[in-house]
Amino acid sequence: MILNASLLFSVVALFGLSTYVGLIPVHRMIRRREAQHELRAGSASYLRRMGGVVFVMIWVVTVLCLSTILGDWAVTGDLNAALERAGMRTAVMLEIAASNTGMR
Amino acid sequence: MYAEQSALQCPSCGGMCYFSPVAQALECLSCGKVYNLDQPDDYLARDEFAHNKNVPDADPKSAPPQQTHQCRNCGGEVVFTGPALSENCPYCNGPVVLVPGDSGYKTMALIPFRVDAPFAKRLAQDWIDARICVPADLALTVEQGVVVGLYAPFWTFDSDEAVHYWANYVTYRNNKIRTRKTEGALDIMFDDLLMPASPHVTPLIRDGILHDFDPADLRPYRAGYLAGFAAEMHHQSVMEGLSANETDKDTLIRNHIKDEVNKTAVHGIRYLTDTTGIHYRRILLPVWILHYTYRAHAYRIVVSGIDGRTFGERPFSYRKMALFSAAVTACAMTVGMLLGAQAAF
Ligand SMILES: [Zn+2]
Ligand SMILES: [Zn+2]
Repeated sequence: MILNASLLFSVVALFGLSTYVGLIPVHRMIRRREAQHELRAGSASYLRRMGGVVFVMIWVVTVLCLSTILGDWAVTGDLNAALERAGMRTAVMLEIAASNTGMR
Repeated sequence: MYAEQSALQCPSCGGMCYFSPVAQALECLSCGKVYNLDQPDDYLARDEFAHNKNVPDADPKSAPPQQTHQCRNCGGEVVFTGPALSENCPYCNGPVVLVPGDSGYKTMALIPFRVDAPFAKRLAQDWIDARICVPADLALTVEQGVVVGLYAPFWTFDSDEAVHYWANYVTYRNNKIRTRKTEGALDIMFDDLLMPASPHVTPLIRDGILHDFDPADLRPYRAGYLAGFAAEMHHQSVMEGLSANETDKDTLIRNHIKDEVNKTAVHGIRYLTDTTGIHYRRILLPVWILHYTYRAHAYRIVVSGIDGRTFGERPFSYRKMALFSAAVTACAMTVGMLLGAQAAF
């Protein structure tokens, strides 16, 4: 495990940024939860508030993916190699997604 | 209006009467005598009226009230019957001015208040207490709010919809995701669909608190039921009512189609519908509204006058939401970093 200032700074920066951006999905989830429990099921307002789970997923997955780079960097100490591996993971994921949706 | 006012005078002492939600009757403010409003033919209030698109609107107009309170803020017009309890607009709490009343459409029926003001206020406070991520001093602000009883105008619509639809959905087989097309026909019967009959009644009032509408609770329109409350009268023609509620009906039809298709990721829905058998009622429904202001922003909590169901608007505490967000972030980052560390070798 290698600890240096720029790694520490990156971890703190990602944590801060994600906490800040996360206010939007958290707000959405609370409103969604209230709708689920209190609005009339199937009514127009209920259905309108049910959407938006995608945003929460995107937020969590993005933070998770960025954190893999930091985890890699922390153990190897080599940011460029970590970025390269992350790029490869992303490429593989996109490849799988593309072949599945039949876009290729 | 004169006849209506005199009907609210106590025959025994001449005092003013108001409708008591607890007694379900007119009650004299001075001597406390109670007068029953029930009549043997009350069940007629359940009747619905057929609407013919090709016949011009012939609904009976109501006699204009002597005066109407018009809100200078939102433009809402309400009539206070009997002892007026509030000088403010029930919808937005804005200042009201007296204007000459204009005749609207006759209200066919209403559901009288069953929940009284102190209980409604208690329910509004309980609702706030049950929220997560609210500012700590909010309960105190809400405690100072005043509840106003309002008979809000609603439609009930029945209709038969012969829908023909086209839609796409997604299949996942042999590791392949495919988008497929489908189409079909579907009959939807809307029965007593509640629709706001005024732009001031938000769908949130209806979907938040008026869950279980039962036509058996309807009573004929009588001044006695309105005594002590504000009421907004019906001003929409049936055509206006139908078109104002088009978007809500569209949402509901699309949801029916989704259920009918019953596949993964249904999207790109298009449909045509042939609407027949429209029946309607113009009714008033009892709503308690509590207004409060937090950091110069106005909020409302609404409580059903029928069964006390509560819903509302509230501010969020950014500090508390940030704690939530930080917790989720911490989890995601921990998992991500562990996965990243593993992937490095
Ligand atoms: Zn009396
Ligand atoms: Zn107003």
